[in-house]
Amino acid sequence: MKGTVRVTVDPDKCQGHGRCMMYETTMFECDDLGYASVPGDGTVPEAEHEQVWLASLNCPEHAITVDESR
Amino acid sequence: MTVDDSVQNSTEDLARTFSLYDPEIMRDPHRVYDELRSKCPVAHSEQDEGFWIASRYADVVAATKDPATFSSRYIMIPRLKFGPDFVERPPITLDPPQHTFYRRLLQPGFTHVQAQRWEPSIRKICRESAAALAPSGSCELVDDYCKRIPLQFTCELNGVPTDIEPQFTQWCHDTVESAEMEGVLKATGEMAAYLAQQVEHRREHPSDDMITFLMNSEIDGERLEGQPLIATAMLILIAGLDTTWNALSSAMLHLATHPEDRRRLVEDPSLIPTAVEELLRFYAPVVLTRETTREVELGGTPIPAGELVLLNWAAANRDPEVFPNADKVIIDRAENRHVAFGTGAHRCLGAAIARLELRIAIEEFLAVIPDFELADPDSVTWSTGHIWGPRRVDVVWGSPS
Repeated sequence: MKGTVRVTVDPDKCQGHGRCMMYETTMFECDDLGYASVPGDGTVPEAEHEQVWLASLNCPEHAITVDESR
Repeated sequence: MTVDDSVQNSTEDLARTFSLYDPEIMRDPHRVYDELRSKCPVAHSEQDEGFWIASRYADVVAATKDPATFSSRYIMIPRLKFGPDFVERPPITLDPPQHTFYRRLLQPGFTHVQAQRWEPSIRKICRESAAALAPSGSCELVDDYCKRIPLQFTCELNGVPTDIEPQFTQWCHDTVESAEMEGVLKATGEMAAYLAQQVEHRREHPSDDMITFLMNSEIDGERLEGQPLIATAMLILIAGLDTTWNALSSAMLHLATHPEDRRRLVEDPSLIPTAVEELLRFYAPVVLTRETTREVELGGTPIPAGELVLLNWAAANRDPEVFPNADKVIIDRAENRHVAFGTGAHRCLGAAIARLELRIAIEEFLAVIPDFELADPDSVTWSTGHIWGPRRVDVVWGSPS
């Protein structure tokens, strides 16, 4: 059975670099000031797992957390 | 004197004599940066009125996140680089809370989503520039391509006719590359007059451009007027030019000299955005300073109050504590938390637009000129000053098959 992958952005860490916005996923949105947030409950569709994972590896602020539960 | 002492002394000598304006050093500044980062990560130079150099990722990032101690009042060496009239160049030379006002005002025009609307104009500029070069079989990459992209795009972004391009280039050179105060003053004066004219014109004829956006933006009922408006417009004009063309020139020089990387991007253009980040990491063009407001310890080294500290994002980007194989370009590097656009409140406002220009400029060039190489490796020259990149890159390519 596949586990659920959830992503969160820590608003205290996000500085609005916008790196996460460059990946092909709908899991990140940015406001007028460039700060990122995650819509809904953060459950990542399977097709976007890799892109979300890459986004987390490229955030200069370590603001993105990807959790896998089984 | 022990062997350790003599190593330490030679590193300190390297720091003491380091200047951003020394052409010999700037041909290969990472030779110095690597040595400083590993042996003397917060070092002092006696050149250009004296300044400190922070080279470790952790120290550079920490300083940018403490604007109360590391003020942006002076961001360049020497302090009065832009002359006494332009000590304040909002928002880049302001600290919170004044800085926060400008950032709130400007940021909505520069988000990732906003930047994407410029893609068609950038695409057109890059495609036409590359197509014009392709038949010739050779070019000087910096002047013939890399500069052309941000210069033409800046005209478009600001809604000014492209015949001002040569003037932009000259202003840019005089203010950023040169340390000659006379030239700086002349250029800032001319730029201010030109932008004041553009502002006046838009009062009657508003348009969908950056200058109009600046004039109309409002925070808490306040708008930009007078000198702060002109200074902000000037910053936006200059800040997107040589920064972008230096990053692009370094990227193109890398592709000219690393055929295996170039072929990978030609075969799989979807790798280009990842490659752009790695090339930004490795060839980060911008280093700026902060001024200490009090005595402070950075990376274990005490720095007195009132000193300039060069925050070396270029060196931080090759810190082996953060990047495995930091001294190698790994064109598909998956984890890349580079800080080429800076960190903290002053991180680059135009980063999303710059990324777009870099990606599209590489895509469009490789689409018509997939194979090119240096005409003469010895003819490559490098810039000096706060914005680093190659000045002259002569390349040749065969005729299309």
